Amino acid sequence: MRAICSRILILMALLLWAASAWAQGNQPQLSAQDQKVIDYLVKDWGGDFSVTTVDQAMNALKVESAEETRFRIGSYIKAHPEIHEVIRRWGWVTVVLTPDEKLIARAIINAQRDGKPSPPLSELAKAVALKEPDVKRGIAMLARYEILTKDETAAGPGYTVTQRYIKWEPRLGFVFHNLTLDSGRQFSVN
Amino acid sequence: MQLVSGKFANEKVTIDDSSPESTARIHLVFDKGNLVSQEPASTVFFWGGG
Repeated sequence: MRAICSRILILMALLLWAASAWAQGNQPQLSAQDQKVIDYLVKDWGGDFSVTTVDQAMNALKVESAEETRFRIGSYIKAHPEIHEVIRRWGWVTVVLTPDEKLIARAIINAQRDGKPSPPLSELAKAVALKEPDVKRGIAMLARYEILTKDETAAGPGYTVTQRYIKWEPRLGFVFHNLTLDSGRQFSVN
Repeated sequence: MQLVSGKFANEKVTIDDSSPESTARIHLVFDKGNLVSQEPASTVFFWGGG
């Protein structure tokens, strides 16, 4: 009996180790530049009610605007709410998504909440005042963050909203309040 | 608005905001704490409360 218990414990430890290694392997590695963006945000968040976003921090640090960089930093923030209270209080979506992505998400979520089919791409573009290729890029990013799920049977661009985001408080989810000062400083508040 | 009328009351502040429920964008410009322009023009701006 004791030997069986020991084996079970060893097996559980191995499974935990494997799960941890798998999770670490899936976590994108931050570059030194990415870390600077994270450091900037952690220092900025909270002062002046700031919930400054990744794209604003990248602008402030003159980091080249690249979707891949933003996704890497955003994924890190999504996976690490322990790095700041702002993430835990306002949600990773608030500080990771761009205004365009938030509005695209909102358009698809509002339709699904109301039991309507997702609007076609042309209507989405009109609703959020963007060109269709920009809407497509936004949708692709929302899918990478697992806010949207590809669904061939869904109307419109063929995505459905992941259930947990449907349930979000409608007036608090996917909003932005961006401030620009004369000095050029840009930040968000909530 | 605490910032616009307080810490940044002597500055020009531009606010780009999402509409509370729709997918509309709202653009407001304040100069020294006063609202100087708004887009869309139909934007209804409330300041204060109780």
